[in-house]
Amino acid sequence: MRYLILTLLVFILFAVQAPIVKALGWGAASVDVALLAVLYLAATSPAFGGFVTSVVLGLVADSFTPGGILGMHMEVAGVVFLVGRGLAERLQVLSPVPAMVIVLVCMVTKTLLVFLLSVVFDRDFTQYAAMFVNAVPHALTTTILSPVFIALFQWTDRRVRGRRPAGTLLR
Amino acid sequence: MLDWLVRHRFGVALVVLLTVPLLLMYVNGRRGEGATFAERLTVRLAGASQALANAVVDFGGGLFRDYVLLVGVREENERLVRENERLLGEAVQAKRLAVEVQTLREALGFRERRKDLRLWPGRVVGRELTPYYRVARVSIEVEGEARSGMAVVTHAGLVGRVVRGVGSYADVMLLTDGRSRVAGEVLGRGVLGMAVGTGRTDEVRVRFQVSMSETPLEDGAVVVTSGHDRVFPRGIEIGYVTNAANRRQVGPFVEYDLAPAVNPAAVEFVFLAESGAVGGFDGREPVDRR
Repeated sequence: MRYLILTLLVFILFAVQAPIVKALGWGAASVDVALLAVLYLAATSPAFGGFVTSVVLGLVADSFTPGGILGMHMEVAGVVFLVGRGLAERLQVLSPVPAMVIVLVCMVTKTLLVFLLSVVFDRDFTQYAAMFVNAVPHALTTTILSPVFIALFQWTDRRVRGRRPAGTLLR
Repeated sequence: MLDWLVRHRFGVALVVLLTVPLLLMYVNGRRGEGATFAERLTVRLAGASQALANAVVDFGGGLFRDYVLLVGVREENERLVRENERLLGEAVQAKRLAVEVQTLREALGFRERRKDLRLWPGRVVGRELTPYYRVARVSIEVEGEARSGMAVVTHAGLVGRVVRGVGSYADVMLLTDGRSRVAGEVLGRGVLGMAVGTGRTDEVRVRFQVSMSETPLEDGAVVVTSGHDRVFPRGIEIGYVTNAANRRQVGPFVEYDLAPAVNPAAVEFVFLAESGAVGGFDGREPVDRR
């Protein structure tokens, strides 16, 4: 149930984000909600359930990526879940600032993965420089706003399970 | 087998869920293959939800723009209205000053042209347009009193003559007053006549009476003062003939309609004029400009 609610929440956030960003005129400065949810799952969920849900979240992200290749974000989400889980097991993250650092690292990892997978699987992919240029505001916005979204996930978790999922932001 | 799968479910999920996306990417990454079933499904689902979200956000944005953001608009509008009124006032003032400057420039030019006249500047301070008389009250800018009979002119032509001088004020009988009589001549033709005010309040018009023996005048013929009445200096424009075909016989004269050169309703600045040989105001001799 928790995974379903979280997936629905990410789905809604994806759906709402595009018109809000457009209305505010922020352009490319969108938030990678799926990555934040995957990191949250990596820090708060058992391996199996978290991993499966992360891949499903990747599917959601794929469906909200016009022109993208289906499966790209699924693959990335799975890998980021593993990376995030590894980082969360080794780091005691008690405040938003370390979480932002982890998010930034994961965003860089994701960008490199997307680049690699695009080169391999997308025969139309030629805009290498543009991809990295556009990734900068996307990564920065996601990093800066990550504490807000993680707090939203925590709040949702409390409503669903009736307790705080973990003692730290990322366990 | 099932136990093995349950025991190793994470590893199995890891392999499967990392392999399936690779396969999907391999299949979907090929060019010109069209959308797969999975793509159609995800795009349809995401498209519908995004359309719904767009509608909701647009509705909320519309509410925000049309109601929340309009707070304070009334005060802003009032401020802009005041600002607009102030700027309009300044623009009108600027135009008024421009007209005044132009009028003064023309008046100076008139003084330069008519050095044979003694001129004293004055400003119209009041008008009395009764059913019987057309009289303007002029405040003159020199000390002493203006004498009755002094001509009142502008750079454009004749306005009338002083009928009463009191202190620094003078009442001026306009050219259109029913009592007004000015000796005139047609410029360049030597035809003599008399410009007579109509006294009508609904139009600014003068009659010009000439002898029946004179050749008929044509439209646009300019009539100036002849100086024969020994009141008005010679050569000041009275007006021009209009509608000459409608001339009529009045006793021993032929009468033409004359449009005055000066519209008295629009006059602000005037000169009190006398020929150079005549003296100035009581007790004060004006500067001789000749």
